[in-house]
Amino acid sequence: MIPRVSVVLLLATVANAKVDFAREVRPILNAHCTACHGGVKEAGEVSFIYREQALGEGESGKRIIVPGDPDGSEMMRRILSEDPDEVMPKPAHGPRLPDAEIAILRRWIEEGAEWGEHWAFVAPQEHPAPVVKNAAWPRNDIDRFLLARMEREGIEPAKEADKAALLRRLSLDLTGLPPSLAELDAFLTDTSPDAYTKQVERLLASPRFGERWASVWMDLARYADSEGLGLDKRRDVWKYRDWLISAFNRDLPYDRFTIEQLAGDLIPSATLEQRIATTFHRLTQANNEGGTDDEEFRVAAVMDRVATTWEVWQGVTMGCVQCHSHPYDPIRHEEYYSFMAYFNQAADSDVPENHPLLRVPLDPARYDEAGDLQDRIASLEEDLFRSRMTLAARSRWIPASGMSASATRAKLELVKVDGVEEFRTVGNVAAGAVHSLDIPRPADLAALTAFRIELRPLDEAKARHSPEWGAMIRKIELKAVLADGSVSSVPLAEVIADEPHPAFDPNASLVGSDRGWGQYTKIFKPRQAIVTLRQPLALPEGSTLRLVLAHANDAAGGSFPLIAKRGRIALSDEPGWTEAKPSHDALKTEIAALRKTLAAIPSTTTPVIRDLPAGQARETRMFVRGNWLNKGEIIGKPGTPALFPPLAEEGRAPRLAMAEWMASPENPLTARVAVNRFWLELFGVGIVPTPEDFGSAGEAPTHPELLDTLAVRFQTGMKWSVKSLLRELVGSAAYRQDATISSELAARDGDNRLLARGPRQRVSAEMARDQALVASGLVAHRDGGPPVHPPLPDGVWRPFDAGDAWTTPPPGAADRYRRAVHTYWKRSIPYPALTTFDAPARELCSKRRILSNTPLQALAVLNDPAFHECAQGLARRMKYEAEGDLEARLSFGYRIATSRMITSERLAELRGLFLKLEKTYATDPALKQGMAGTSDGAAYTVVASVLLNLDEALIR
Amino acid sequence: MIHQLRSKELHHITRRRFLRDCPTGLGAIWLATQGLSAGAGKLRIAHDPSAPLAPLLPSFAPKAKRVIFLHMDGAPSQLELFDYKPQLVRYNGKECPQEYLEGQRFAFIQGVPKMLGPQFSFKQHGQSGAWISDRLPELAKHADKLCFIKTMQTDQFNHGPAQLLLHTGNQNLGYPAMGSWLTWGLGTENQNLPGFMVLISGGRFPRAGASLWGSGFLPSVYQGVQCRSVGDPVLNTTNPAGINREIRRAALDSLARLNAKAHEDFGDPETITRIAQYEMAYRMQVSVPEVMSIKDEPPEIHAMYGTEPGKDSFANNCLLARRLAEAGTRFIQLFDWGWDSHGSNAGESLNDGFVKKCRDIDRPIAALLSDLDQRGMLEDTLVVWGGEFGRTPMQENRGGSGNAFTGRDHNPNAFTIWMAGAGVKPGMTYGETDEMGYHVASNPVHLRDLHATLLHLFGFEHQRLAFPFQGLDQKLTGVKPAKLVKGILA
Repeated sequence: MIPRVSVVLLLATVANAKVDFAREVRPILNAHCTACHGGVKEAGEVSFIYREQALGEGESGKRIIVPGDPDGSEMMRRILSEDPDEVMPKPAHGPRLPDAEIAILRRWIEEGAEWGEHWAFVAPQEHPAPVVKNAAWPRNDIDRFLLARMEREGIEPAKEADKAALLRRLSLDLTGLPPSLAELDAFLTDTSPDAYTKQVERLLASPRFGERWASVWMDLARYADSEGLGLDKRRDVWKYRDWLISAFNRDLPYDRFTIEQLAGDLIPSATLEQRIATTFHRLTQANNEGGTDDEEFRVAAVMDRVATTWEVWQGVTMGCVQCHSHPYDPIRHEEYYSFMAYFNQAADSDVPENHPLLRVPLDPARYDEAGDLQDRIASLEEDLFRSRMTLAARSRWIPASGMSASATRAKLELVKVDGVEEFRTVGNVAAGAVHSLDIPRPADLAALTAFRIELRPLDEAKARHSPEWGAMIRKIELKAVLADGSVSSVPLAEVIADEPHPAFDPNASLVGSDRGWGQYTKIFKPRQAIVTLRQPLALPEGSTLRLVLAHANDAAGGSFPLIAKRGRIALSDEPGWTEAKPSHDALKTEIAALRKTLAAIPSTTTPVIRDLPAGQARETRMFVRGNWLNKGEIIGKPGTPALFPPLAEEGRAPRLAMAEWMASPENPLTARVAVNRFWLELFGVGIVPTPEDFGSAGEAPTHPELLDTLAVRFQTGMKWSVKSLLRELVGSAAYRQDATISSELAARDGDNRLLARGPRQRVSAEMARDQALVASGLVAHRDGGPPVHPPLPDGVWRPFDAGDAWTTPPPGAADRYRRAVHTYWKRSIPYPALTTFDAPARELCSKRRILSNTPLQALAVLNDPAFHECAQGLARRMKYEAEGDLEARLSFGYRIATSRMITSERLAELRGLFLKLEKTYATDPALKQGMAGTSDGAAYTVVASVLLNLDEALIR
Repeated sequence: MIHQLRSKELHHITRRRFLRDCPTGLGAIWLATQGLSAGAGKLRIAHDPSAPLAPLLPSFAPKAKRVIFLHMDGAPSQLELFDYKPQLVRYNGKECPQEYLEGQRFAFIQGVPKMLGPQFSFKQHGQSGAWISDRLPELAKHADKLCFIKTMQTDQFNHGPAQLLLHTGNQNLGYPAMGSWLTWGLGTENQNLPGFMVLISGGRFPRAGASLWGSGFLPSVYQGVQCRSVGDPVLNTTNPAGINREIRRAALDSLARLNAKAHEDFGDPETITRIAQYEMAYRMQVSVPEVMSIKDEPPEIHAMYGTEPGKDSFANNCLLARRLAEAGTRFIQLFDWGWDSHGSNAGESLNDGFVKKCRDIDRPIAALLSDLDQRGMLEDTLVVWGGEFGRTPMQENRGGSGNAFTGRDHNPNAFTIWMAGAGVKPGMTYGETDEMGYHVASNPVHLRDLHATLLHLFGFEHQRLAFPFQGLDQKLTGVKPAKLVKGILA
């Protein structure tokens, strides 16, 4: 498509003013120079990203740009050169620069080669609304900005849309649903001056509002009910979807909305809801196919969080900075990794159990109760943990020494490191290996009360950033071997892990379980467990302790055995380990009781973000050229790119500080990007037409002052209220315009960037389904719940994971007719009717749906079983619900589908079709089989299908 | 009146078509403004929005007009089919030397595995003397049509990511498939059929699912359309019960007249496009079942392929591939599931399931090659055969102990594919693996090199077929340097 408006834009540039670097020079550099002289490549040691570099010397020693002296600037000399070996761009890379662009560069250098920051990286300022000639048209300041531009271009706004078209547009835009006939009638007969405002308020207050906007956000959040990649198994995350719906419905301010999703877990005394919000970044893909390295896909998820955060809130493409500095914008390679460090401490690690999981009551009314129970359990567990760690610190630990070791399914050797004896495996190991360590009784050990198992990575320095496979101990057994060779089992009491809230119960390793104590699945740092005895064990001289460590029989991902490859043992005779401790018992009893109460609340789970305990923190390093296996410089602490205002950190967890920075008024992008996104949804094209890229490679805003003013007002006057923002947008005269496209306007501004007419957008995928459900009268609304399985064409559902069944409820069951936002979303088999209408598979963050117009859409609405069921529903409504003659019934159906009153021509067309079909069905009764039982019923069904396929029905 | 609208629409298209189809003069000027002339920089692919699949010209004269890509899902063992390794016979049953295990990642091998010699006997075939095992006797007769690459390499050793890398050039989901790139860049020849069609056999879907034929960030109209053996051949082509073609026609005529009124009311060009799409949908309802129905093929064709109408089989899909190729489909993608011969059960073993799979594909592929050849279509049809990676020369020992069935683990370091037809040298072998068939010894070909070569055969320089997304000019060949495999070009 030819960008016609950009020509207009260029003309609008004021002549004779000083050359504006960001607006006029940067685009020339980006188009012709930065591919070789930019963030990716610095050919000849020349880069045009930063001024100090551009003013420096290249490899040749010549000064690239000399401010004030174009003729002394190597850049100009090379651009103007006639020598094919000298000229820039090189002939093989592109044509000679147009004279107009050369002139701009020359003038810019003459004027001092001032650098200027790209507009989007400078904080927005509020602008007074311009004065317009046509003072009668504007309804608010949005209109004044738009009209000023139209007047400059010599075009006029359109008249206001008729009321029915307006309510249809407003209802679909705000709630995703068309107006009912009663709602239409109420609006059409309401002649009060605030009739429209009343409708806006009604729709903003509707519980359906949140459902509509949640589906928009779910594209950004890459929301899916399955985990993606490999097995693509079901993953319960729907409580996050319900949180989103509720957040939009209660108008959670956008800054809080941001902070809760990025760092809800770190908010002091976080509520259960705030923790659910962090599922946002657990919607990354997981890979649990056999043989996959959990660390590889943990890292992939962390990198996706970086890219997604920047794309969603900043409209900046950060993915490319993984491998090199940003090609166009001043963001350095290392800054990607400083930012990645915010997410690198999240505990999740691509394990099939999806840890950490949050237990969430099915009934939101019980959220507070459950949240409170969980907080109390966590706090008691910490009390218990601290008390034990105090004892551990006080205890004497005697390193096991003089051991002998044997193993099955592995080979062990004993080595001394810094005087401490440890066991190590030799060569490859296999799942289910059993280590057996014979430990001679230390001479000065009085009576054994506890022992400590310490697992260590083989290469401790490297493992801090590149972990090794961990270990999972299925069963821990201790035996006493006396000098005479007799062996007796020593009863063990408890396994105490080195963290207060382990993912699996460590005590399971006393009874035997593949998920007990260990380091699951990768080990970054040494890990310990203290195992206590039921009673002190006095060992006679010459006796030996035999510690048997049996490992899990399964292997991580089916192929990586979780075997302790290196470990140390220490023994203690601290009496405190075996003495009765009523305070501990009381804590444990209380925890157990609370857990029982919690377990009695019917619940589901959702994966959440939770950071590792400080002691287990990972080391973050740069990846050399973006390759996760090739670690470079260490990243000291997390940080945001220097391009942006600094972040206030004091006293807060780094990720929370980052989230607050993202949502702070100083951030130049967050409000602009958000305003642009809501604008795009309503008007069909953003003020910045590339919502995915606000950087210098994206398109410039059509109305920069309007965008900035709205962005400032969104943060200040509106206090980040999304409903206030939408109220203002839909309240503009621009939004309320008639959508008719004159041929002059189509030629001049086909994309409607100047908004000299009302928006005319095809319905979204969700709206297509929802509208058909509403027209049929079948729709069954609900407030949240597990994903549903509406009718699906035969042959579609063939999941790799056979356990993931698609069971459609029978006709009449409410779950068959839920809004599309509730449809089960499997990444490898997305619901076909939705993808046909351009819904993404939600594998990655998706910023914009490019609307298509394809024959597959026609086939879907005509023949898809779910749509056909809706046509039958609409037919029934025409036949049974409507009153009057055939014309009245057909008019009723047409109005339901399009919100418009039918014209006589159209009515004649539909009537002709109906009568013809009715006759056909009457003369061919066999044809009615499997359809309506009557000829008129069958004819109504076909007519209903035509109505649902009308252009007017597919437009909002 | 529909005629009037059509002519309006046609007027719009015709001008472009005239310009495009005219090789010199005006056409060349238009092409130059579209950036389609030879030279550097990203190509500007500009489609008429009302005919997004209308054919476009590539950068330079193409050798291939269409592809039939036969993906053996699960990764067949090159060591049992084409990469004959006499040394491996000698090492059979011996412990794997440690040097082969260090630094390697396996899906399921643990401890120290044993080497596994070729399980079937090999012979040289044709003038070219290509080594082919006795599992593919029919294909062996076509040895002189085939161009083997023995040294394919991938970065991924799990099915899902490896399949994605093969088909989209990226191991993550969300990138356009080869077929999407080509239909975006070239359109397709038959406007009654989608340009990129997918056929699946073997009873299961490939691991990475529909993402293997997704359009990623390219417009959705370029995504692959899956043809199904259960239900409609293309989703929703069958009318609901009680609606026959005559009734559908009457309904669509009314719909078109009503939509024409909507166009009168609003003047939206999308409405004209919509009218055209409903007409194409109507044509597809006939053309798709027609092209997808093999029952009217003559008996000798059925005998040649071993097809049985109505069956969910690779043989049927091969015959369908020829029919689609004949009908002008740009990219025909076949997946055949069941080649993951780990030896973990009978079906997934070299001594059982693999033998059956070979039997399933041998005759149909041979028939497809003969059939294309006898119709003169092999000249401009490229046939590609391969899996997502190769298999190890070691026997797999899942869980560290021996398996009841014989099998091999995944090997991304070296595997074999072959191509035949348009633009590639027939009867040749490119590249050599080491004596165990584990690593490449000479002339490695990475998947991105294969992608670059494929695009070249269709008249594109791989660096120039690019689409801006996430701040990058995205290419099928990705960001790492890719090279054209000149040695195999005819």
